[in-house]
Amino acid sequence: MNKNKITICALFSCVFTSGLYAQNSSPYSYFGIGGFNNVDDARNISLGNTGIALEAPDYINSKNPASITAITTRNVVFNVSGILKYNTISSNQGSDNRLNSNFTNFSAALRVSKKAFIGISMQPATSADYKISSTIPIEGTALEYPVTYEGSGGLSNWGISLAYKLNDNWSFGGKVKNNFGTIVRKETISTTSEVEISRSVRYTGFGYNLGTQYKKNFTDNFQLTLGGIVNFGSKLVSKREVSYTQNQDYTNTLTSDLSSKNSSLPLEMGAGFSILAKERYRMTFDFTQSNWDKVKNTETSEKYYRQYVYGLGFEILPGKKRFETISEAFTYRFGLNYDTGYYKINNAGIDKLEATVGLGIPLNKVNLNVGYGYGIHGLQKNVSIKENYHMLNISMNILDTWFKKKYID
Amino acid sequence: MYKYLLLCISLMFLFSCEDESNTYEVGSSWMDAQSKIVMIDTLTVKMSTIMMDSTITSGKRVMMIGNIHDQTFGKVSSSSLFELTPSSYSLSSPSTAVFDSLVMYLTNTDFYYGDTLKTFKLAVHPLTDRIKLDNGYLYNKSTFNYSSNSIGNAEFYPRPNTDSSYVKIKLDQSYGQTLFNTLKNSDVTNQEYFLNFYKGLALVPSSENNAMLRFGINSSYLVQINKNTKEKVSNMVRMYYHTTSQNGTELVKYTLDLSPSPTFQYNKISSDFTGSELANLTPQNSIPSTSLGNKTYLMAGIGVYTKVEIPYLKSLKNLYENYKIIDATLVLSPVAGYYSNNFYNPSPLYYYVGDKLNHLVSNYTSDGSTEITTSLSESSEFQNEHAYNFSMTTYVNSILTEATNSNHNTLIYPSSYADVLCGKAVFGDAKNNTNPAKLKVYILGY
Repeated sequence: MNKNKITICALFSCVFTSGLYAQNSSPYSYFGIGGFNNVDDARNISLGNTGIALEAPDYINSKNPASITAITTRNVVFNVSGILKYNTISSNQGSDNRLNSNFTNFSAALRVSKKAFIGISMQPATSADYKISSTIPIEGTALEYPVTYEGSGGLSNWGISLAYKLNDNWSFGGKVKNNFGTIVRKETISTTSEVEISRSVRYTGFGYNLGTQYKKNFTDNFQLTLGGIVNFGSKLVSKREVSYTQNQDYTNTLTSDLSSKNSSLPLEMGAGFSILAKERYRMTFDFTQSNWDKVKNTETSEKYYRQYVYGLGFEILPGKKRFETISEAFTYRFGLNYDTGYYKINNAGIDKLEATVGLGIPLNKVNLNVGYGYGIHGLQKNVSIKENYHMLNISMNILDTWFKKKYID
Repeated sequence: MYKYLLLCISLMFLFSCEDESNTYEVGSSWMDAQSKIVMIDTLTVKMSTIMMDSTITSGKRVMMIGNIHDQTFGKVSSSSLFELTPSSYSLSSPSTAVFDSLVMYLTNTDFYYGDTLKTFKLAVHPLTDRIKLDNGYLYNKSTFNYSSNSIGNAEFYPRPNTDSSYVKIKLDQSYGQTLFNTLKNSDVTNQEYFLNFYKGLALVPSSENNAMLRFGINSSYLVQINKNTKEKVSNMVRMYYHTTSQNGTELVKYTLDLSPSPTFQYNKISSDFTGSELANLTPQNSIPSTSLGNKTYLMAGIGVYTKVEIPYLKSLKNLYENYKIIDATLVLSPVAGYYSNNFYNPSPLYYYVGDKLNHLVSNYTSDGSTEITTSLSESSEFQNEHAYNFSMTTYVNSILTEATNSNHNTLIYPSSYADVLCGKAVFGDAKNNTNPAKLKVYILGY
């Protein structure tokens, strides 16, 4: 088992030292600080991206920092998650297909004492990844030059969460996140020479999250969990830079600073409940509101509005306590998620609808969650670019027991 | 075991992959470039006609001979003065040698300017002054005396670009005999002694001509002068002599060639603007285009340049936080009516960086050494669309990045540092009705 720990630790250190940027491969990632990655565990995603009122005894639920208080005797959980996404982008100019895969979450949680819990996480929160060909008009003439827009980079964060269990029913958690990352927007214009203008914004800032969960058993067959979260709006200190390169002669790149105004991430509030009936059927619902309308100094000029996200999930747990085959131990999940989006392009809000199914596979010391989802990005009729995507989510939660001797269970 | 398998699968996620798309066009309707590209054609372009004190006409290996007279430039006349160098300072079999004749061959392979349908007249005069260099050069205004009596005349129809385009001038028999005797008697043994007797020749055009011809002094001007021997020569003076038959030996014919010196040779080009449109033009007095009906003039040989200034060029710096000049082109169009098939617009035109005092500072080069030239674009059959396009990007960039004001401008001329080409042109300035000058600057703001 020691070997395993070493492997995990090595993996973690490797991830923490290297900058992580997920890929989005979407024209939507052109806007603002890039497209938001779905960094949650496959269980959350399969349940309609809910989780504010879900306890997490055998995995890591990033939705609510209080959820780690459900960790029991197997007191350490490691989570590695990834996504494989096949995206079809269509507009009246035709359609493009993009396939990409990336890591979405790396986290660990540890039960320190009966009541205190600690967690760390590393997540690629947003990413800009697009490559789009177009033309740029030469003002004063009827001519235009070809231009290629390319985006790269994104915001990542690493965080530390602490949670405290007041009693068997009530728990609290808090998380401190450090957001950091650079988004590079490149315009390559083919004039008489090839001119590349690369604008980068380096963001840094801290974010603070609070969460709570309350659980009540009404009868043996009916358990209600309530959850709430507040993610306080956090400042994003921005440093802008522009560089000019001619004919890919990067040794003679001219770089100059641009005036910078700090941006921010919005205040987010969410509430959720989940009901567990007959210890087998669970329904969960989340509602989240993000005050994007208060966010200023975004890099691109789209109009922001308040975002609402609704998620609904159903979970069917195994019927027996003891299994003869592994399939009897499967957990089945279904979910639906609707996200109003938070910015308008050409006066059209960009919303998103996603339907998901998933499977929980408990293995010895490993809890594997897999999910499939289909989503539509840009549902509104007047949205000129729509994305239809298929995604596969995989999360692996490794459960272990550390510091055995200190506990007297 | 499966744990490691799963770890491996998870690790694969760390190595992101992306499917390369083919078109990348979808999404372009949303993109709004933060960079701006603007074509600016509203910059003030100030043009004027200037005249240099003098221009270097030596060392170009070119004899320019002719006259041009018209309403625009008045009278322009070019003579060519040069030393001769004999191939030998002694004769073959001097004791029995007998002089036959002295003949000058002038070869014209490639260039004429003006009315070539009329006969062209020129005269050969012996120099009475030694040609002396002024700091290593000779200028269009350098003057050396020559005898008023000609020793040879030619009248011919210019036929450039043909194999037989040479002019044969028989020189005065007594002049030839004297030269022959000097060599026969071995009176001179080197060039310095030779020059004491024979200082050189001047080729002087008749004022009746209305054309300029160019006779070159190098191997590229070789022309066949004899159908039988197929001998090719360039410009030279050839002495024919023979040895008399003695004791039954055959009569033997000899030749001795005297070549024009490439160094001690220049073109004396004079101008007289009296009564012409450029009547007030002197090296001290430039004429702005506004005083010449929104026109500027230029002519090779006499140092008349068109000067182009862009006084508010530096204002481009204030348009954007960061900028780059993508392209800057000055388009000058020759004014219709000022050129014809004979007096065609020169090609190529050369342009130079000039300073406030109209001195040439440097030439426009593409790679540091190759001069950039501009030819007339023939894209249109309409005269008002004939134009010269001057690439000004380097100039604009240097003005925009200079630390102190250099006040550099652009001077345009039909000949380069390296040659004396004849040609004249009249351009419209920015306000000219029919052939306006245009400056287009493409700027990238970012």
